[in-house]
Amino acid sequence: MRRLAALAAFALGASVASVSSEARANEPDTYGLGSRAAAMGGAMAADATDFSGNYYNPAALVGARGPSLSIGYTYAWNHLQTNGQDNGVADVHGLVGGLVVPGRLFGVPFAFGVGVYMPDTGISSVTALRQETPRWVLYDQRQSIIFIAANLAVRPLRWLELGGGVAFLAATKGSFQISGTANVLSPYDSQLRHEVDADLSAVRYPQVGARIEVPGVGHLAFVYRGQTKLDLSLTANLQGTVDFAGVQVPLLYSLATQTAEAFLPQQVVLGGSFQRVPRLTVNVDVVFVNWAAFENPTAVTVSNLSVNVPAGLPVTIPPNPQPVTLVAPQFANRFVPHLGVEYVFPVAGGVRHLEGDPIERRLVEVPVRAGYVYERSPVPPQTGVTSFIDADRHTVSVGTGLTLNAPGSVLMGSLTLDVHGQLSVLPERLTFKDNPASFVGDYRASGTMLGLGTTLTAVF
Amino acid sequence: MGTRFHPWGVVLLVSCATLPEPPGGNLNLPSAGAGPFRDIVAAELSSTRAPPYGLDDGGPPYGRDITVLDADGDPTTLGVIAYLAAAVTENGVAPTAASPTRSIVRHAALDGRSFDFPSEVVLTPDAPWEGDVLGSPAAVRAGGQVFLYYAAAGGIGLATSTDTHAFTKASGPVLAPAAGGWEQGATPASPGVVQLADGTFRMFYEVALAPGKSAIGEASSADGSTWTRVGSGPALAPLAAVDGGDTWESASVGSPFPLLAQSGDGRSILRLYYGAVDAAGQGTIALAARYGTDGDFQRAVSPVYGTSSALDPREPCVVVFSAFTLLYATEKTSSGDKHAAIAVGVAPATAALGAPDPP
Repeated sequence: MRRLAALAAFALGASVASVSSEARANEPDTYGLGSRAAAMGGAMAADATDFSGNYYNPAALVGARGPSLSIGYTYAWNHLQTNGQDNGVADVHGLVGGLVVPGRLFGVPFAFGVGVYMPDTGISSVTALRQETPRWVLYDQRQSIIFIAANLAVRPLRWLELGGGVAFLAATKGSFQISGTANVLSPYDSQLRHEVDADLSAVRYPQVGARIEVPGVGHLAFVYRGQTKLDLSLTANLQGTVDFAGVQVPLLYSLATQTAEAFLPQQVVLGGSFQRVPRLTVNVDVVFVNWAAFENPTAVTVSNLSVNVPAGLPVTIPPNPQPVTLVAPQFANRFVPHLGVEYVFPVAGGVRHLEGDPIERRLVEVPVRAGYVYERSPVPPQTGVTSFIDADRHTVSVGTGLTLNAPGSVLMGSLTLDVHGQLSVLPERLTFKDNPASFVGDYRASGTMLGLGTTLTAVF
Repeated sequence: MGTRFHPWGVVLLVSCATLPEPPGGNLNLPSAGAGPFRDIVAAELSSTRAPPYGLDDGGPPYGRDITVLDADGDPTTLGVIAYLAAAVTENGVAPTAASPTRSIVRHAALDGRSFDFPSEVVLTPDAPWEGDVLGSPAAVRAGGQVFLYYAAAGGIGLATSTDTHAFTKASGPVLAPAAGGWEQGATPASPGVVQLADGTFRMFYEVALAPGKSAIGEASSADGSTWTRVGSGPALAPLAAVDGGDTWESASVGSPFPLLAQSGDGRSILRLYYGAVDAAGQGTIALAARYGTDGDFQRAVSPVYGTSSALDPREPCVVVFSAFTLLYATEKTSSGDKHAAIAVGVAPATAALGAPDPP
């Protein structure tokens, strides 16, 4: 037993000690990871024994019946609007997938898993906006981040599963230097030297979980996901001479900007999966989301332009901008309930006994799933300078699939094709500005999101 | 099943993330249409003009201090008429850019920003109280007439017209200097007038407190002709920062332009655009507003125009169209040139103005 405990400690320690924060991703957080999880409202902390455990609960991976490989695709259409007009928040679409490989390590049940969401839109940059600029702060960027997480899980006791994993974001630090002479009247004769020095450093973040078997009832789960964000900083220096028809004007310009983007709050999940009735699974998760730690994503920029313009030269030099004083966003912590239900209909074919599965299976089974999530907006009334647009979000999801259990000698496990549909409704929220001189003014925010996806999973 | 792992093989606990294409979310964002204003660009202006100047005489009569009226009162059409203060030739000598303005001239623009020229003179000084000076016109359409207020040596005058061309002057100033009070006998200047929803009028005007320092006063009128000062102090005064430091309006505020608007929940808003000057002498166009017609003004978080240049815009005028708002301001064409021109800005910055007319 002591050996098992030591191994469990190793598994968690390897995850936690090597990182400073967690592998919490954006698309899974907003739309779910995998069709089964999305169809069940993301209430998966105590039931995620497939690749989705890489997000919902690493500990549950060790509950996998066998090595599995999953791949799928998801597409979410965002129709978020203010004052009745669509704001063009980008649709979110990409590949999902992962693997789970269970086994034994020193005689202890063990599993290794990888989960992936990869947008199929290519890699690009972050947009840093002025503080006053309205934005759908929770949906305009965070779901666009690639999610890849890897986890370990062990079952040190028959009734206890522990797991943990690591992910990290790429933070950008860079500098941009220009020097030389710019010829105003003949730009092609300019001689400018450019130097770019960019550094992508990792921002790591952990997640850990535990799952406890309650005999005859199901499982309980506890998950912690750490906080993370992308710290982006850029410095630029321009030092040179501007040539105005032979008049040499020395110029020095410096700029430094820093912003935190794609903030993901730390979360604590308590979940239950009730499986007392054969073929029926009822999952409930309650997620505490630490939105109070949200940081203002406005870029803090300091710039300085120094030019000695000779007398008589018709050039106007703009003043240096005043530095921005950031307003604390004062988001509120939230409890987010998730509910998911699944019933698996045996449809056709002979009876199968799958290894590790206590239930008799038929060759062909059809699961039917439904889920619901209520996310109360953490964004306080935007009566002041900032206009972080948001509204409460109700998400209803449904799903089904087709499972072939032990269809042949090549595949002794199962082959499952899941599909899901997801509709989020954001009821209208009114914002009234305290200051009648607001550039934004009062506004109405509302929207819908429609998500569809499919996942193919092979259990070997 | 039955797969076994060697502990040394457990090394892949890594993952990574970065960001894909620009996320969007910047279309049709809520905007009060109050600013900030960007300069109009060449494609938005008739080819015979240099952006952002919708009107640049480049020589006599050096029109400035524009006031603009929607030509037909229909915000879906862009035609406007404008009145400017202009210098005149005196004794056969052409004026310079520094000459005082002695006439009010009329222009028009089919597209709201490319003003025609030459101008048409509609007012000249002919009363002793005017002191041979006319300037800073402010036009309001009310009751089928155009009320044209102007600054003169003896105060603020009024002329009315039914056809926008021929004006009839009131016999004397409608707002003369106040002997006492905070104005200390200063001559009210640079009027801006708005008709409220109840049919009454509000005037805001500039009061010189000291050289280089002015504040904005307020007056009300039931008929646009007889005015009564409102309050015992300025409606808007220069404002230092909380820590005593400089702001964009710590030195002076003036050249007011009032505008009625409505909030999303139907509250009436009185916006006041004005010229602001900081301690370094840098001029910008700023905005303050209040809910309802009375009470204190609240300032916007930043100036609405002129922060990216050192051209010292002043004398703002704003016209709201159905899809965007245009700002007209008088500013230097360069830091080394004293002659002023009429710059045009548009809000929101993403607004599409369409093709200019004439091209």
